[in-house]
Amino acid sequence: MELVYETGGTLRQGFVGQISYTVCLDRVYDAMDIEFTFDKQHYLEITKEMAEKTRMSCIGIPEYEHASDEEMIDAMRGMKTEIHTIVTMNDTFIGGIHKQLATRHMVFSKDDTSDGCIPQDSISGVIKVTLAVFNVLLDGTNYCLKLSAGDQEKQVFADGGAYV
Amino acid sequence: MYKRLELHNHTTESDGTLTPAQLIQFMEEDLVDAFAITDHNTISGHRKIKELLEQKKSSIASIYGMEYTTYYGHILCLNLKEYLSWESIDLHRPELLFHSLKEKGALVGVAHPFSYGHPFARGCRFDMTITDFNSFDFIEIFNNPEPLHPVNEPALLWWEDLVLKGFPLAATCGMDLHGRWNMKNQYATFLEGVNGGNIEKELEDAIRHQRTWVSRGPILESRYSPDQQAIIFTICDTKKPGFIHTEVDHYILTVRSVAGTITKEFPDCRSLEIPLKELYPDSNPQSVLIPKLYQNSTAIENLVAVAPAIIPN
Repeated sequence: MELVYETGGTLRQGFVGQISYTVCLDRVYDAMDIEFTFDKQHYLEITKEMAEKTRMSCIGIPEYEHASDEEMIDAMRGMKTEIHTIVTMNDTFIGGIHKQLATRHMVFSKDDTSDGCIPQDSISGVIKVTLAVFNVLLDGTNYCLKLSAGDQEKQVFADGGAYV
Repeated sequence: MYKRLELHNHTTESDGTLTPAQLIQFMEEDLVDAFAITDHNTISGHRKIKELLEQKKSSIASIYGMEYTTYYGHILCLNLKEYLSWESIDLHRPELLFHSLKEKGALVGVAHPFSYGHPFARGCRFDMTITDFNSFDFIEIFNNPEPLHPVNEPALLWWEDLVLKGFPLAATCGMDLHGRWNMKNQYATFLEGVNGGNIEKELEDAIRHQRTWVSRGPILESRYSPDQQAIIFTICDTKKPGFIHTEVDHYILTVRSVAGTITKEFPDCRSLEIPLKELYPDSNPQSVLIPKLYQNSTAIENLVAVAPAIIPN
């Protein structure tokens, strides 16, 4: 498995939208592993100011506007930066990951694939990886994307990781 | 025969804890006739379910779908034959995606429209502006795990209001299943089908003709009797396990129309005849009627079943 492409970036708080990367593979491969990681998934600390700001954004929402401070902070602890990853090969969907893992692998081969991915007899042509960004909690959220491809069959670990 | 459908289920292919094989087994154990696989933004489970059912030679049927999980709401898609990209979703024109999906033969519905959303979870609540209410097929009026008053009750009322205005929307419900959750006394979707019938076709017919029932157990049938110039309402049991009721419970029928709501108590025989002149007090037989069945009182907590709207030819 060789690294074909590596990139990364930084997201601002509040960004919603897609970032896509397109990779033209030089030849036909048996397997591919797309690794995506990001940091700052949850608030590291919740200050009174942050809780107050969230409360202000809840005005007019009956379910939340009367929440106690404790309830508000609890709800904020459950908030997360949420990014989906979607992969197409030659404009055909081959996988999507909804599960919010801060490190995730999308492994494609004939026999073994990660959850959310569709087995592929071979890997070739144009791979497009789209990061669908639903929510970014914190400024300076860093992400990294790596695309590796290889000729040998891979095995997939339970956590989605893989080895040759 | 009435078939019970579970139309909203996730597996390990997205964020559920049941594998496709475990989902099949779970549905079989609860005597479900057909279930949908509706993972978030992936169709990777379709092939797995198909292969497993072929291997097992199971009598349970499957419906292939996906829950389009977008920034502005969740769109439940059934009879989905191919993945269509959703990323160009427009907050103010969801019809663009609805039309694309329907052109491919899929059935399109709004899932848990009033679920909690901003600022804690983006996308769960349906925030998109729908202008054309003919552009989609159904509304998930009960998402069982969601709270009754803030989420499910407004969804039911939204569907009722739109149907009373004449929009051709069916009602569905679902477990939004993410694990081995208890389905006893929860709402399920029912339709009329035949033993061994093509569930995809039966579902399409039921949705397109607004012939779906939503119920915790019994079905509320309605039949027009031209001789008596009346509609006869009947309670029919189904094989859905876990419906909570006792012998002392009594059943109440409500029929809502634009003119108001009629309330009647069912006699012990569980069949009730209401003359048309009573159902259409405004003498407008073109009005849509929405029959519902309650247990003991007409509080929403006691709602047992929602029947298909009675729509004049």
